[in-house]
Amino acid sequence: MGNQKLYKGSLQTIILKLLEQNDKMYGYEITQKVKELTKGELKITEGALYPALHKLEADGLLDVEVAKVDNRLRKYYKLTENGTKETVSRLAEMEEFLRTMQTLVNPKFSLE
Amino acid sequence: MKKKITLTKEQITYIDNYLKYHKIKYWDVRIELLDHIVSDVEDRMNKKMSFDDALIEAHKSFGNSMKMFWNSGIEYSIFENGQGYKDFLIEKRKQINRKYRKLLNKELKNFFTSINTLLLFFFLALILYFVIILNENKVLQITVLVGVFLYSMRVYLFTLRHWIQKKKEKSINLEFAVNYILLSMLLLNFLSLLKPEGDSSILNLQQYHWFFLVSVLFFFVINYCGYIVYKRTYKYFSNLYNKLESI
Repeated sequence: MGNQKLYKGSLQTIILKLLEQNDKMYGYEITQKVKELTKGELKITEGALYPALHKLEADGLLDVEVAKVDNRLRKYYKLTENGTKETVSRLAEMEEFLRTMQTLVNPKFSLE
Repeated sequence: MKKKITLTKEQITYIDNYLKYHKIKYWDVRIELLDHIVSDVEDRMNKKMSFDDALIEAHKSFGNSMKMFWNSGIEYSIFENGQGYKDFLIEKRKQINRKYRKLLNKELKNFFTSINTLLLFFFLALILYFVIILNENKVLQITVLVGVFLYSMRVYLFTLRHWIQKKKEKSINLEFAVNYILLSMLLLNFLSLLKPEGDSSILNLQQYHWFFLVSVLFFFVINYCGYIVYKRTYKYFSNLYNKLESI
């Protein structure tokens, strides 16, 4: 398992990206999806996921939909119009960040 | 294909009561926690774990620490400190506060950019100018001020309805949606504190009258916008609560 601290600052971007691909998702589903996609490399803890989701909701980037599922209610999150725009810009920022890190960490592979 | 395990209504109620015991008194916070824990427990049970063990793992995943202790000399029991749920609630409160502050700001922006509400604002400002600054008729002043105050109390009709319907479960959303209206009440307190009496007063009578006028206007605008936010929140969460009750 890699250093979880390195992923910490990217949690909101990861959530936005997943919601962009999956239309609507609930909390537990997000943790499992990340685990599955990264083959267990990244495990989002519940204590980090929900504050991030609630912050994105408070900022108006996520909308909530509640549905009945097997004797309980389930809260689904989906992107708002602003959320979709924000996802595009945050992904661009992330790519820029990754490029910079690549240049710093592994300069010999840089073409520039 | 083997049938997937799903928790019974009794097992779900058991977990919900457990959360209530750990002071998650708001139903609109519990629905999300409950669904997460139930999904997690079901997943683990499908991987051959027992209900009890799966539940312990789910509690741990929220940052709660579990300790074994010797229970009345007969058996070991597992004690869970609930710290993870306390932290969850602290974070939730912070974000809910942000959410309602932003919604109120948006409503205030709408208030000052719509012709109808701007007209209402200037109309009230004119009346207040007339009764507070120009004409010092006490009866007229009290009538106008009581009118503004009663109009602002509309929001409590919902609280009253809630009380009459004996809905005991608390909602974090409704609690924070009314917070800024309650804060505006503090302004009224300032009015009585700053009232000029004797030589040591901070404001002279004329300054006080202007302060009074601005405060009442401000109080009215906050309450007008806060009411819109609260009404919308009340409607949404009442429907959601009915949905929860119907399960």
